[in-house]
Formats: sequence, structure tokens, C-alpha cells
Amino acid sequence: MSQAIKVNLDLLLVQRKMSLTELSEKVGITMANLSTLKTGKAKAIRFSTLLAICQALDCQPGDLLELEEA
Amino acid sequence: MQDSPTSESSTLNEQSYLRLTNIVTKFINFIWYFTICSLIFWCIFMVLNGLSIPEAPQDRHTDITFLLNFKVYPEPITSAENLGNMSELIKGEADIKLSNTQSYSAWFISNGIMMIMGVIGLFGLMYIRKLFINLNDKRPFADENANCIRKFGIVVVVWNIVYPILVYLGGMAILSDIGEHSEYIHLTPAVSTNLYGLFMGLSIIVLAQVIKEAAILQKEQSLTI
Repeated sequence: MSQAIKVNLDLLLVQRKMSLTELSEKVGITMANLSTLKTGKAKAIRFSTLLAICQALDCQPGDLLELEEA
Repeated sequence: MQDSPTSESSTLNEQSYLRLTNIVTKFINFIWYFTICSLIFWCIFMVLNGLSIPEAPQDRHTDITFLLNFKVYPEPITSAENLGNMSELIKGEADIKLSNTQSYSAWFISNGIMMIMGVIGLFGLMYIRKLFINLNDKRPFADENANCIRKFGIVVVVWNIVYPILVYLGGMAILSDIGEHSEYIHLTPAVSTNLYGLFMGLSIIVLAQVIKEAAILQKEQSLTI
């Protein structure tokens, strides 16, 4: 059975009542890249990006990434 | 903030690279359309001219040039048996021009071979043209480019296999029609294998695989946030 990493960015954004544009401004990542991350099209994520998003959303990497059955 | 000298020089390099790619793309486009027009006109001329070869040599426009082996003898060749008793003065392989030939098969075979090789060459040009259009659009590592390079490599290999076979078979057919020897000259079909060309084609196919790997890496890189 195959598994995949799911990015819970939309859930965290809703919980923090933050828009993607605000996050983009805070983290310094383009909307296009954040959208790629949100839709699960991203192939990899840099530690620096992960750190910036976690700081902006005040969460742990485990809150952002989740292992799910594909 | 000022740009560092390194980034300035890299911008200059990119600009000159783009300018060069643009010039080469225009040149390839010109060659592409010129080749298509030439092949169409040559095909029409070949058929119309070949269907009615006039009796009088001065009325004919049927010069052909064909790759053949030749041997020049000091004495007239009377028969095939007498060839064995003589040693040649000169021998070699050359594009031999047969002026105003009356032979239908010689005319159609030599021009037919040119047409076939022209069409194969056109395929190669098509892939190179696609490649340069992508390079012009700043997409050097697109998946399509790897395919174009691989197909171009295959065209080069096919060219280097088909051409010697056609030249040999065509040479045999032409000589059986016009005769192998005149007074002092004996002609035989040429075997023109081009191992360098074959090696180049295979190298291009391998290079295409490298580009394909690079395309995969670039795709992953672009999807790394």
C-alpha cells in the first residue's frame, strides 16, 4: 500500500485565520510556490522554507506535514 | 543594491547566448523552408525531365553525379577477362559526373537517392529546429528537447546506414544500365561507410539521455519550495 506526504497548509491557514497572501508576505515566498505547496504538487521542501512557514504559523513541522494513505 | 561583477558578467553571457541562439534559429528556419521548397521543385523537375529524355544529347538536361569507384587503365579495355591481365594507372572513389545521360534508370535512381536522403535530412532538420525554438524560449532542459536530440541522433544513425546501402545498390543498378567500362575506365559501385557519422549519431543518442536526466532534475528543482 502506497503512502504520501500531505501538506496541511490550508487547514493551518484557516485555524490561524490567515490568508495565503499574508503568509506569502510574512515568509517571503511567492504565491505561486505556496500554491504549489498547498495543492500537493511540490516535490520537496527546503528546511529554510519549512522553518519560515512554521515560524509564521507558529506550529511544528509535524502539524504542517502528515503521512497519509495514497 | 548594486549587482556584483559576477552577476553582471552572467547576464552578459546570457544575453550573448540568447542573441546567438536567435541567429541560429533564424538560419535554421531559412534552411528548413529552403529545403522543403527545393525538394518539392526538384521532385517535380525530376519527374517531368525524366519522363521525356530527348534523343539528341544537346537537348537533354540530365547530368547526374554519383559516387563510384574508378580505375584508369593504360590500354583499352576490350573485355572483362582482359581486365585481369592489366594493372591500373590510377584508382579511386569519387563523385563521377555522367553528362546528359540517356538512361532513365540512372536519372531516376541518382535523383531518387538524393530525394530519399533529402527527406531523411529534413526530419533531422525538423528536430533541430524544434530544439532551437525551445532554446530561444529559454527552455534548455525541457522534456521535449531530450526527445528532439534523441530523434536527431536516430536520424543521423539512419542516414549513415541508409546512404551507403543506397549508394551501393544504386551504383550497381546504374552501372548495369550504362555499362561498367568504357575504353580506359572501369567503374564499380562504391562502398562509402561513414563510421565517424555512425559514432556521432550514437553519441548524440547518449547525450539525449543525459539531457533527459537533467530535465528530470530541473523539474524537481522547480517543484522544490
